[in-house]
Amino acid sequence: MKLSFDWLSDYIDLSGISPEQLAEKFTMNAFEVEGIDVFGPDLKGPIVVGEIVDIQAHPDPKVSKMRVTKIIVEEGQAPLQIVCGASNILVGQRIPVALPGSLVINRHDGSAFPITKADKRGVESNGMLCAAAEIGITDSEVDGILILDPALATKLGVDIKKLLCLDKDYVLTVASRSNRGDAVSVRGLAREVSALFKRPLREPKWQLNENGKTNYSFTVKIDDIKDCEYFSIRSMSNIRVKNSPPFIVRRLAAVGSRSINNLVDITNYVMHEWGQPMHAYDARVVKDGKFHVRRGKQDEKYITLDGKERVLTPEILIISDSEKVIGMPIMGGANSEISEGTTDIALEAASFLPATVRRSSRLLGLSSESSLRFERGVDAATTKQASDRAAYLISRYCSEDTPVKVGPYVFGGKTEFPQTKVELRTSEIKRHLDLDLSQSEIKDLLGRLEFHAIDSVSKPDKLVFAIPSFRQNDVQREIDLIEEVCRIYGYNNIPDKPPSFLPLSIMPDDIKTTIRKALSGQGLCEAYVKSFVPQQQISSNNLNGKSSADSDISLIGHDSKRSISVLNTISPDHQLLRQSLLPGLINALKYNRDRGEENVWLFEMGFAYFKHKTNEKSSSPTQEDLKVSGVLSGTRHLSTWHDASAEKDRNASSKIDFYTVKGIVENLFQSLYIPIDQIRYSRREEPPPLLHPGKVAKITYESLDQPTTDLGWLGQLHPAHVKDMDLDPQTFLFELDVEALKKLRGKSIFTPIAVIPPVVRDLTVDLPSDIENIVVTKYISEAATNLKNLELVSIFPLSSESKSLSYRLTFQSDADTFKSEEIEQLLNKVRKTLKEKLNASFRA
Amino acid sequence: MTEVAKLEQQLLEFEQTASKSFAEAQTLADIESVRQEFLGQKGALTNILRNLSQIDKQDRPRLGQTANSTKEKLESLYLKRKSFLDSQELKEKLKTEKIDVTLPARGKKIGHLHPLTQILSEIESIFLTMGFAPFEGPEIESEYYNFDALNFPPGHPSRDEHDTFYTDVDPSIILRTHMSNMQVRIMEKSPPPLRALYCGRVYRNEEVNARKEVIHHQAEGLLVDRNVSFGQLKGTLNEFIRLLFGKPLKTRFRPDFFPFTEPSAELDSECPFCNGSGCRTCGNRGWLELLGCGMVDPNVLRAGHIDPEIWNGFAFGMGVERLAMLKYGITDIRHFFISDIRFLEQF
Repeated sequence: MKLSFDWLSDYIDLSGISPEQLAEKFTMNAFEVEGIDVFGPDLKGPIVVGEIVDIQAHPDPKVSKMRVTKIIVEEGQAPLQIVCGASNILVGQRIPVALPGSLVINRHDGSAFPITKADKRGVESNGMLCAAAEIGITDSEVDGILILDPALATKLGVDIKKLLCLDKDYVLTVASRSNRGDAVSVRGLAREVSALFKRPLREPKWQLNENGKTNYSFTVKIDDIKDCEYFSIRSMSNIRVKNSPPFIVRRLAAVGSRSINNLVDITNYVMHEWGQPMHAYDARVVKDGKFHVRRGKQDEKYITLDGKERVLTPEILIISDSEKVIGMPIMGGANSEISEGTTDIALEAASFLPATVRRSSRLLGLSSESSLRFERGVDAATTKQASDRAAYLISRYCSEDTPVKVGPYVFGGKTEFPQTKVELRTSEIKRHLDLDLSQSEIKDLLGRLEFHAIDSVSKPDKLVFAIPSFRQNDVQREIDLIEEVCRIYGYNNIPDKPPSFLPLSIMPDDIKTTIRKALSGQGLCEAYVKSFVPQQQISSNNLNGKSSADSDISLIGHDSKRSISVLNTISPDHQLLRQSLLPGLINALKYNRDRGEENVWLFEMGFAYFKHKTNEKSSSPTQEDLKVSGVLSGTRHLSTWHDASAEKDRNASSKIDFYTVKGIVENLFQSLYIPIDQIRYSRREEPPPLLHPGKVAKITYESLDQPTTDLGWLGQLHPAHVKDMDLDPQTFLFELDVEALKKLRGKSIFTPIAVIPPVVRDLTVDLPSDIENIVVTKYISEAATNLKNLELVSIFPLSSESKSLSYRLTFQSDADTFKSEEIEQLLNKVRKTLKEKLNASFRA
Repeated sequence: MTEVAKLEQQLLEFEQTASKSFAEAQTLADIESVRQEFLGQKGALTNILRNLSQIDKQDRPRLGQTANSTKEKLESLYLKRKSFLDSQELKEKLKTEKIDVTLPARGKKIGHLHPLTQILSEIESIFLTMGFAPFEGPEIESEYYNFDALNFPPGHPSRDEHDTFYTDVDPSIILRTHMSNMQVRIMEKSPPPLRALYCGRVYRNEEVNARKEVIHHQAEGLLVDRNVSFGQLKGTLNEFIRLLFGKPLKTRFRPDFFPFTEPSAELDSECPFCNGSGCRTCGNRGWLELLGCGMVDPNVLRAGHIDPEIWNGFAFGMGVERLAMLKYGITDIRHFFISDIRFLEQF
């Protein structure tokens, strides 16, 4: 909230405290002060009320606009001669006069404008008649000299700064806290100042006189005391709606509230001062004088002060008379609005249940200064005082010829406000704050906040505090009092201590870091993509079943049955939770390519989100799968001059391909000690629709001692999306399941290094072209014992039906050196097997 | 002259001629032909030795010995000269063999870890040294763990401040708004004393701008033990700031409100860019708001089945993007989620 330093000083003596000191103290011990603004003009010197007694034309005809005036600025003194250029002045008017030596505001550029005795084309001028802007009133509509209200400017020579409340003020922006409804007011913050600076509070002096019979009388009915613990109405008559007195206008302006009229301004003024929202109804509108606090009816209509029609529900709390809705805690109704013709009012002050107000506010999408305070809780114990204060100000500032009549105060709801008590063990201060405070020190710290110890029930190890009504919302437990002790003592006065040490029970298994390093080490950049995907637009060009023209790939492969959507998003981009990391990475690829970057190697580790299948039983209704995924497009090397110079086909040799990405994925497996000879790449299953159906592999882990584990997919981007998104056709993707990798993760175990040298033999096999490498290597491995390593050396197509594969076989014996006949026997066995199983042939 | 003497004489002359020829050979090709000439299968020595059969049997061993020693002598001369010529040739070759070392490298790409990964790993390591073990938990969360168990009163405005995303899973299932959803989950799993650190994505339904994103990361820590004091909270976090920024920064703790901690505090550090004198980063305040923290509210401990009369603790939470922005001087939070290579390659 905005806090006026000047207003605050009504309630506490601030002498010797600068706004900066106050802000610092607030920030460090209570509420953060987000800023200090200077409010009001920087006027200096004598600027006073004067009366125009004479106006003459300037003797020099060249300056026909200038006129020579005579102004009295002090009763009984000779008038001053002042030359003036404005045309809106008349004899008898009272106006602000800046005398020589004063400083006003240059209305053209806002700079300081010093007033001196001057010669205006041969005529002496002893000052200046001021326009509104020249004394810092910027919201005036009057052009020319500011003509003062004679009812206000009753005395000549009065300091205009005082009269119009133009003194410079400081406005602190104090962060309001959702648990501290008591502090959203001038009085509430004055209480904090009192505690922090150890200065007593003071109250402005005023006395309300209930002085007679008003024209209207009212009754109060509350349907549910839980919704509204207290509701009061006071009838007032002989009201005159007009402009507010300057001090109210200026103070409201300082805290950012626009002046409406004296009556409305006073309700706002008291709300800022006391934290108690107020509302004034035009009494003529209230049918049968009945105030009924109730829930709205379904589809009941109500037009708020802002002119908007609101449709009510039974969740919304309203105030009605015997036939219609006339008010609501959040905002008053247009039908009971105060107008210039209003002479009789009903003044409401109430305390509504914060949760009910909040619910109404959310349902209507409407909040106000009133709802802000109701939601934080108002102090019903002082509602009557606040109402009295408003009635006093109304009786003082809203009368004309006859005095305002102040009727009786009627209310419903709570009649008693019992004191609450909270115990505080001194041992708990020690335990939580590690402070050795004596009982009297604790009593002093809390006493400053008006938490007073009840000595009769306190014991040596335990104090009992009476909680003032305005803090009963947030101080209910011992820990709440400990917090107050800590705060007033000062967080920074509590010495730092090292935490007690507790060794870890287990060293964390950080598979994520291993994966990230394995991928970044191979040249991939890590991306973080948002978890949201947009809901597909149903557009006209989408009706034929093809993807929409903007070729959004976000939902390709998205399982709508298991999709999780967000209900209340404010952006169409944040509607569904992703089920794969790939669409986001492809969009990131496009983003980079659109900006001229052709080499894009990206990976992300993140979650995919699913609803559980309906037949699945789980403790959680949703499933979050950690994935690691990548997209690669571009060249294999940073610099490709080598390949080009070697006069090879530059594109064929340097572009990344399926096998580049397969290698990256295998290195990742190896970094996790997952044996890659047990990883299978197959095209058995229906591939994800984002991938090329012929250039895709499902990756599984197969071993004898455990069931096959799905690890994920690897493949080339589907050509349809390449075209739609204008990407490089050679774009490859992979997506792996991190939980599966975690389960398979192995350890490195030392194998003794062989002392017997290995024997290496090459074997060239001619085969039908559709036989996959995995089939060949499987038979070779089965047939050849002591085979330590099997490497494909080359592959040549022989014809459209056949191909030639060369393998390098490395044999390693654990015991003895191989004899060449033994090797030849092994190779013959391999040849025989391949011939039988695969119809292979061998050339000499 | 006897046959023996003739042969001996022949051998002597042969040795002299051959030695001279080896010494005079100037190229590797020369020396190879010299070797052929004198020591080859059809060379001079073979010819001499062929005559050995014509001499007396008694003289043969002696002469054989002489012949062998001559052969050995010459072979060693050959090897010596050859190795000299080898090195000569290498020297010559090295005079001409050179490459342009300024041509670009056949460089493999170097990958980069996302700045958030890097700062998260720093945060995790710092707290790991203090005994805070890592924990993980769901992003799609119930209102219970996100709010109710954390002492957010039902219908309290503090819930509104969280701009919660609701889902179609169930009216009570939301996207977590802070990492504090983990507090009671951890307490349910790990009995005290405990020290936990947990990081992840959190969601706020807000308008995106340079300072705010709908998704951001938080790192949060929780400690529950006997006799944990506010001073320990301060000590722990001051150490953290010192280690994270690599220098002791002045800090201040000031009151704030979170429903799940009491007392609650906001930790400001002296701006590391201007050392507190005021700059653009700190908006001329000299202080930067770094994290929220506080002593765990007894109601939260109770929700985690921990007796607050015996145990107490503290918790702290920080916006990871914010720390990364401060640490690297990044001015717009949206960079983190765009995946622009030109951004990612800077870290």
